[in-house]
Amino acid sequence: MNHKMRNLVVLLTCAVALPLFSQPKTASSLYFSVLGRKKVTVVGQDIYTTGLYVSADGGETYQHKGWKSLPIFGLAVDPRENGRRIFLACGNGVLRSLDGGETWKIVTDWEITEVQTVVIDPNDPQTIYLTSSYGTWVSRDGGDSWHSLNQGLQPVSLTYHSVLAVKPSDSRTLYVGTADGVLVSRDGGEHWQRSGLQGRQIHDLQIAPYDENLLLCGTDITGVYISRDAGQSWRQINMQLKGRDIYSVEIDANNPGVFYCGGYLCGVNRTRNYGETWEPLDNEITDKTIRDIAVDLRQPHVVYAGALNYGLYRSTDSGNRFSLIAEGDGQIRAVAVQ
Amino acid sequence: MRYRLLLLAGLLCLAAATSAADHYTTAYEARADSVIDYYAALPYSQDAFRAMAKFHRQTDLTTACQIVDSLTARPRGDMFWLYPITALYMTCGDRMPDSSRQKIRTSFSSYAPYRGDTENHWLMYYVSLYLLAQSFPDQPGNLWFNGKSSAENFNDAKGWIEYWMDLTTTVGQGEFDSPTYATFFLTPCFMLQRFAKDETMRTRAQIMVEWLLADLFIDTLDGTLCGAHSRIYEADIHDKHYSNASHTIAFLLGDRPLFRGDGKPETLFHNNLITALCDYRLPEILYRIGTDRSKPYLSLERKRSRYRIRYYDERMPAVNKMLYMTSNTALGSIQSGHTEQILQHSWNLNWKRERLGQVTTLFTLHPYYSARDMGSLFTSYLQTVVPDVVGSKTTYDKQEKWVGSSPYEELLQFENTLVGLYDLRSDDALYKHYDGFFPRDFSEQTVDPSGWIFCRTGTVYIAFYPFKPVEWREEKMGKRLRSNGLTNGFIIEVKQPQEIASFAEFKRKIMANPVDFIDQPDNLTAIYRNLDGHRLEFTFGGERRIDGKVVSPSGYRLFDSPYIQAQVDGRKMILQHGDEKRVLDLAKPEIRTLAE
Repeated sequence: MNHKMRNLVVLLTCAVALPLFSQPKTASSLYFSVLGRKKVTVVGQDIYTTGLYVSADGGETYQHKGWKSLPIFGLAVDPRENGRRIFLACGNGVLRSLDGGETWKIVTDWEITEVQTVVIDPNDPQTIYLTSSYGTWVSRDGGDSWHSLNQGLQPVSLTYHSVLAVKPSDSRTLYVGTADGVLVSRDGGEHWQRSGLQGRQIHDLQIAPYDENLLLCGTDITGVYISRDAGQSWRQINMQLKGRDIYSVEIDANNPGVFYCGGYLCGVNRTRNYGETWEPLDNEITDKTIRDIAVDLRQPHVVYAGALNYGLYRSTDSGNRFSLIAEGDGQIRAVAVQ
Repeated sequence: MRYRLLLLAGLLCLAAATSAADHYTTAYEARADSVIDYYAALPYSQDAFRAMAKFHRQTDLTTACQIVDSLTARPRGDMFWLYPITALYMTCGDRMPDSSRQKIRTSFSSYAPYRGDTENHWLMYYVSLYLLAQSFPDQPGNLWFNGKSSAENFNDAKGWIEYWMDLTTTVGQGEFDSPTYATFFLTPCFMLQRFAKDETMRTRAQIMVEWLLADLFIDTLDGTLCGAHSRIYEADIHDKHYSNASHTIAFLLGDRPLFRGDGKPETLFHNNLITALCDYRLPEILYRIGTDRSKPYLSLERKRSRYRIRYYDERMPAVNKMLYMTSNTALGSIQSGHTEQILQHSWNLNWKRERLGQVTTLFTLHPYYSARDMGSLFTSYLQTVVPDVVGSKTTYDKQEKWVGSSPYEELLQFENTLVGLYDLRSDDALYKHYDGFFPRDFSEQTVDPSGWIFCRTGTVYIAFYPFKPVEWREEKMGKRLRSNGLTNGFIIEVKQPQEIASFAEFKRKIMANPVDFIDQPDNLTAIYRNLDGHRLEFTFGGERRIDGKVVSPSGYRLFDSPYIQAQVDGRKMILQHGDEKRVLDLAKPEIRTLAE
């Protein structure tokens, strides 16, 4: 174990495991991916902090799971399988584990690369979507085989899919964020049509669990957009928002009107009024670049923020105060709580 | 009597040809042996190539086993680890102890190499996977790093390899003509043509070896890969004689000694060792194409950009290249197409050197960088992609850089004459100048009051005319010409000394030629008639005319030269030199040799 890895583990153990030690076994599990920071653009570098970290026992311990050399851009954990079924969105394709991360298989072939996100259909755990720089693909058999859902999509920017959201009450309705706006499909991805924000690079897109007509988008350069009519129209909501390059948006499922967002050098921002105004949270992470935000559904006052340039942060009071719970020589790329 | 003379002449020609071929073969085998011997004698290092040579020669086996131990105990390097250790197993698996063999096999389940994000990475990765899956058939996924069974890995690898072969032979090569990466395309193909069990795959791989070599050799002069490049690094920019491509050229063509008198390598890259162990023999026709510069020729090529993942209309936009080769000079440029701004070299002039160490290249560029262009290649955020790139390509965003291209540069070439235009008025063009590299080793370089810059060596006369004033800076390898101006450009014309009476005559004739540079807000045009009487007329973003006729550099064939022909979508290359003809037909697949 090299010193970077050792530092990471020590800090994780001290800063995270101990405070959570007394929590009940039903506590959520935290998953996050790290990409070794130094010279990450150089293939072949020896980067041992890279990979997936899981706290599967309520935060008592964290473990590195799986490959140590593979960039992970997104992850999905099946809530119905008690954390045993995990999908990772990677440069080499999609990795699937059926045993909580003990063993892995790349379930995609050469046609699929640069995977950005993996999404499990909330109504059908055998249906898995992936978004990639070569469009959206679907598996109807739990990841064993994949089919392209990119029919009729051109030019190239319309096949750069950074994020996908499935309408909870109707799995045939899909929203995809592209490098050139939002696309919607009403037939499970067989056909697509534009759903606004042309010319905007979409980094994140969320559907509000309490109102499926409410969509939230984080974009490059132009900040956050909200739609209250299922993507028919959009409104820019950047009042008092720090920064305009928004990489992550998160809707608090339990508190209507509460959103979080983060992005390039803008820390975590929160709104309590559907985006009418934003407030930057906690000076400690104000100027950091936030790659991903996750709210613990079981404990909605617990919010995690992964920084692209340094560390994983945790708030236990809905974002009022964040503390560093994991640092290492790496970028935090994806965060999930189950 | 006449019949007997003809017969005798024919026999002599045949004998000479046979002798030349034999000589080449003998010399090649000697070079291959010397490379194997060199690596076999090197001391311990965590280097698969040394182990390869030692096992092959059955010498210093203790060290060879130690190398295997180190390579498998803590693997690193992704596909740059995978292809050498695969080559080690394929070439020497039957010459190493069971324990070493087993350690290598185990490493393919314990270490997960990254597939990479460029095409050469993928070729190394998938050819390795193909050969390994073939070597260890019928094994379950838990014995492979990626969880796939041998059959799954084999089919996955085969699928991409065949896709790449088809792509390259229909719409051209990506990462084309790279002094750095050409060998990383060739070496996996050498491995595949030698070790694939499937005869069809072996034939396909041999076709690709010869396709890539033809592409390399047609642009070769004096042991260097000339003309425009998709990917070249600063280290190779001033003296390409020591690039990876040059090492490969030297190894295969034998145009210069691989080793110095003291036994140290003069020109050697470790991939040559794999080639040496793959028992490949260069067909004579490729040797001739690589070495015969007795007649000038024009070579047109159609290539493709690297994969664009966003901000573009097309996934793999076309790039059209031109190269004019003489016995002493090679002038090459990208005439049209979407450029790659990071490591591309849009044009350069090379000439034959007169002595070792002589720097023999001249070029210009507009220093430019773009988050958007990088973002079209990689998934990084636009806000972070440039710092990410600069982390490894340190000069990428610097105004002093010597590699890279710019969308604000356009070029028109006709044989030995090139016109460059720069329109730097856009705010996106951060730096408002272009730089030119003039090497230190001219025997004469003068600046005439007319503005013409004249340079010469014993092998080349050069006339360069900048449209705006210039300043000069001394640098280690030569002089930097910097010309400032929002609208700008240059003309360069090149002659060999044997083509004109004297350098003075060359200068006199050049200066007698009027240069017309129209510099208006909506019209940036250069007009020039070269010494051969051809009129080049070129408007930035507009028409290109040669001798009054509009030319369009957008419809090039994959290869179009006296020695190589290949049509777009053809999957077929026809090599021709003298009476010999060789057809590389990927569709069938077969290689046919014909004599006319």
